Amino acid sequence: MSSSDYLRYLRALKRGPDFRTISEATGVPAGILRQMEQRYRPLGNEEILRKLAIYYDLPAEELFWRHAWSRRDLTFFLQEVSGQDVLADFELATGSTLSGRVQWFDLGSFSLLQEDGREAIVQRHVVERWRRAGQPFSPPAGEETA
Amino acid sequence: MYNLRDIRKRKGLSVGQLAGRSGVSAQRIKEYELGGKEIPFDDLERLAKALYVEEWEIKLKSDPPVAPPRSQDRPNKPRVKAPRKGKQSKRRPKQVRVIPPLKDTQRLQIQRLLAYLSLDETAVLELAKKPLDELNQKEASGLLNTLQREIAQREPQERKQNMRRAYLPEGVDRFELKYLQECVESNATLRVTLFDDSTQIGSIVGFGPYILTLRDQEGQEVTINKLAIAYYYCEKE
Repeated sequence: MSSSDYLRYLRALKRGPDFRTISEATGVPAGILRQMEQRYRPLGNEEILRKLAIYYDLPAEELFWRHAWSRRDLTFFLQEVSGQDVLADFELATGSTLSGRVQWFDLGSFSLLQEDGREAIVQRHVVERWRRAGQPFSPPAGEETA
Repeated sequence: MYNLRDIRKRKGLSVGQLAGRSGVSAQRIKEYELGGKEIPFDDLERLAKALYVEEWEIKLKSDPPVAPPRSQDRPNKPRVKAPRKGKQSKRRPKQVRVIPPLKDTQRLQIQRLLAYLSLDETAVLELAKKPLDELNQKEASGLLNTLQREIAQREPQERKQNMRRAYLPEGVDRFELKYLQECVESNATLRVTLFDDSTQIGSIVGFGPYILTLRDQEGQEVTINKLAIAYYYCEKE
């Protein structure tokens, strides 16, 4: 899950406080919080991430390793493998891994034709990591980079 | 985070120059700098781009500037008239603005766009007249614009008509909506796996960019926010 998707996910888990509420609690301007969730590239700095980690009751490292991962990274991987005869694996936030060939992708999802012939429409925000079959997962998780 | 005025001064720009570069009126820039008004999202983006900084580096609401002491408050200093020299001494030394080297994010994005266009790094030499490693931030930004324009030109005409959309597939949601429309037309059943690994099965009643509404076998309708969905299958009869 990219850093922006992860922040949206954390906010949803906290029952969706608005940006102003989080801003009041953390001191991070609401505009920055909004951009961090909506932009395709990483925004914010270490200080902001630490404040958010405290707010969401997480180890800061969990936000640090994801911070380098923007939505663009998955886009470029999907671009590389879509429409080609390339088998790709996607590790999902649910704990399962789906494998198949990417047929198309767009803003929110992508189509994965699995080996059994079924076509899964996978929501992009649920993808934790990915790889071409047989290669290491990207991006590496926090514990691997530490 | 820094005040807009401080960043502008650091970059050696006048309010008028920044207005010209960013497209934000000088009047509005002055208001933002005086801290009277919070910088809205659109203007923040334009100003950051014009100043070559990240949006988050600019304080949304600037601190009001500290007024200089009034003349009567200043200690009296004897005025010494500087001896006049030749014409040249009147001129200010020309400020040399050093533009920092390209950012890692710019390098990465350039490499990706080159890959998207099936070009290698030698193309940088041709387009920017310099190797990638020697570009500064401004040159990298110009190169990125050139590459984006190149991508735009390669795209079909129909997509160009909607200029507000990005050109990469990331900017559209029509594939999924088309897919769901086909599911509706074929009276298919949707098997949806949610984030918590639970499953919802039903026929599609309606859908939009953010939600899906299903009717289960007992006739009950449930609306699911797409954020709660992990993946789904359309099971056609």
